[in-house]
This record gives sequence, structure tokens and C-alpha cells, in this order.
Amino acid sequence: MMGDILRLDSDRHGEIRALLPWYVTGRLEPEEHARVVAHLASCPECRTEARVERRLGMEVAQAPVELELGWQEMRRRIAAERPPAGALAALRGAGLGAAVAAQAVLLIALGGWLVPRLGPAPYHALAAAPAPATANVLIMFRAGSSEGSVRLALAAVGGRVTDGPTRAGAWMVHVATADRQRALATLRARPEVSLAQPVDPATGP
Amino acid sequence: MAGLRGAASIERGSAVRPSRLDDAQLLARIADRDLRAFERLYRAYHPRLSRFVSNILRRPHLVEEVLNDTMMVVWRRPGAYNGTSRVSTWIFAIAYRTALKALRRADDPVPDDRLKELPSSEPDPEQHAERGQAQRDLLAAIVELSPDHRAVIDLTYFHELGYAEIAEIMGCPVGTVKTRMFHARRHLRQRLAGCLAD
Repeated sequence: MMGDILRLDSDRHGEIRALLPWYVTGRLEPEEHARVVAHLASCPECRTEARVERRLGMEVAQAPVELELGWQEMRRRIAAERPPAGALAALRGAGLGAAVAAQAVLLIALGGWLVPRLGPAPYHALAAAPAPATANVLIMFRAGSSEGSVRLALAAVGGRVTDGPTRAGAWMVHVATADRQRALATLRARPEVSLAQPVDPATGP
Repeated sequence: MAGLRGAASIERGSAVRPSRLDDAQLLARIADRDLRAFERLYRAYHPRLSRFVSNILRRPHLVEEVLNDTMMVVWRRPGAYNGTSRVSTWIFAIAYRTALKALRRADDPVPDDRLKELPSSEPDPEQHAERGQAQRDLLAAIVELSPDHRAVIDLTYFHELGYAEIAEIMGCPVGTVKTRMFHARRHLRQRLAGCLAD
């Protein structure tokens, strides 16, 4: 008998609490609203529940769902545009500054093709490269291009990286002057290259 | 708060709100192929539908498509509204079904992990730290709910609809709405323990 009473009491609390979301937003029918009000007047536990419910409802209503979803999408797009992927992965591991580290990674990856001009002395030692050539081609690689594909693209035109990446993510490359037009056509035809354009030393990139 | 009650209502009782007439009248004009009336309805519903659909889909790139698919149904078939519910209920029900179809079609694996990345967002020194973290926790907790549970809490707390109307939009019994709300609240409160106290 006692159990029945407790059960009935518990059911009443449960029934009232099930209505609280619509009580705090003012969307109950008048009869239900009156029932909740009467119960809350005599039940401190359910009054506490109602306060928590009001707070929860307010927080959910104010949650900037679209803004945060949009921002996460934007972050993903920005991350996808950082070229090239292999260099970035190594960059994170190395914990170096972006421009210098990216160049260092490509330097190691591409070996003899690279002639670093901006990096500190150790890079020169690693490359053991001859005197730097002058860039006459600017290249941008698509986001996600691997070190291997970058290497192949440069090899296809006998290109040597002389500088980069620029702020826009471009690389300055030297190719044989007599073959520059053919090299540009070859580069533009490659899937990993998004931009290849001539650069004249007099005008710069 | 941008609840539905203010702009598009066929309300309980005998009082007739001007906004209700607006929606019904707009629909009548849309049936006469009045593009300006449709534009007015579109602009009135876009913000609320955008929030509702975003919450279900969690794929920003699909939201506009679903929203416009929804409103195309309104433009093409205004006669399908039978007057037994609010205009807003009818439109939201179309949006709900359209969003679920899009969700089933979506072949990207992204799913609902997007807002779980929130805690790793760049810290903003100008943002109120505690408030910002609580909001990120809440959004992350919402993400963990199913689309149906998210729809119920959004329609209840943000759009401020009653359970009967939510049941109509979602095409389910009232008891199902209450059960979904019970589980959604329990989950959110567990995840936000301490943040909701006075």
C-alpha cells in the first residue's frame, strides 16, 4: 500500500516534469498550465527542476548553431587550401615557423632541385647546392598535392626551386630559359599544378 | 527570440492575429502565382527554417538546398495547405521531411562530428571564457543527439512550439515527442552538469 502511494507520488512528479519544457516556454494548454503551477507551489524539488529547465531552454535557444556550423566548415576549407599537404604534415611535426619550415621540408624532400635563398645557413648545408639561379617561373600547387607529385612536376621541366612559398603559397622556380614556354605548357597540363606563369627578373613575381 | 508565434500563427482560441492572416493571405496570393507574395513569405521564413534545417542536417552546404526545396513545394503546391493547422506548421513539416530525405541521401561521411571540434577552436581573448566554454559544451552535447531529438529540442526551446504542434510537424504521436524530449533533456543535463545550476 505504501509502495503504491510512493509510486503515485513519483508518477505525479514525472508527469509534471515532462511538461516543464513547454511550461517554461508558455506553450501549455491553460488546464495543464494550472496543474503545473499548483504542483510547483507545493513541491520544492520540482520548482528546482523548473528553474533548471528554464535555464536549459534559454541556453539552447541562444546557442549559435548556424554560426558554429558555418565556422567549422570555414576552418575545414581553409585547412584544405594549405599547400602542399605533405609539407604541412612535416611542418607540424617539426614545429617550425610556416614559411621557413615549408621550405625546409621541400628542401629535404626534393634534394638537389632546391636552392634555398631565404632560409638560414643549415638549409644551405643540407642542400649543398650551387649558387642560386634566378627564378623565371612562378608555380602554385593544388591543396593536397604530395611531395612526390611536386617532385615529378619539377622533374618534368627540369625546374629548380629558388624561393617560396610566397604569402600566397606560390613557389619561385628556375627552368632553362630557352625551354620556358614548353615548361609552362607542361606544368599547366599537370593535375597538381593550379597556376604556372612566367616571371621576368626585371619585373619580379 | 525568433519564435514562430509572432510571425506565422493560426492560434488557439478565437482571437485572430494579423500575422496569421498575413500568412494565409500570402498563401492565397501565391496560389494566384504572385511572386512578390512568395518572396515575402520566403523572407519571413528563411531565418527560422535555416536554423531548424541546420540543426537537423549539420551540413551547412545542404541547408540552402533543403530550404529552397521546401519553399519550392510551397510555391508549386500552395493548395496542399488544407487550413487545419498553422501555415507555419505546414511549412515546417515540409522542411522536416525534406531535411530527412536529404540526410538519407547524403553520402558524405561527415556526420555529426563537426561541433565536437569546438573545444579546439582558437581561443579568443575578447570572448568571455566561461560563457564561451559553456556554449561549446552545449553545442557539442546537442551534436550527440539524433536528428529527431535535435528537432524536438529546437522546436520546443528556440521556436517555442507546443508538443502537439511538434508532433504534427514530425508526423508522430504526442507521446513520442514527450519521450524524445525526456531523453534529450536527460542527455543535455548530464553533459552540462554544473552549468545549469542557479
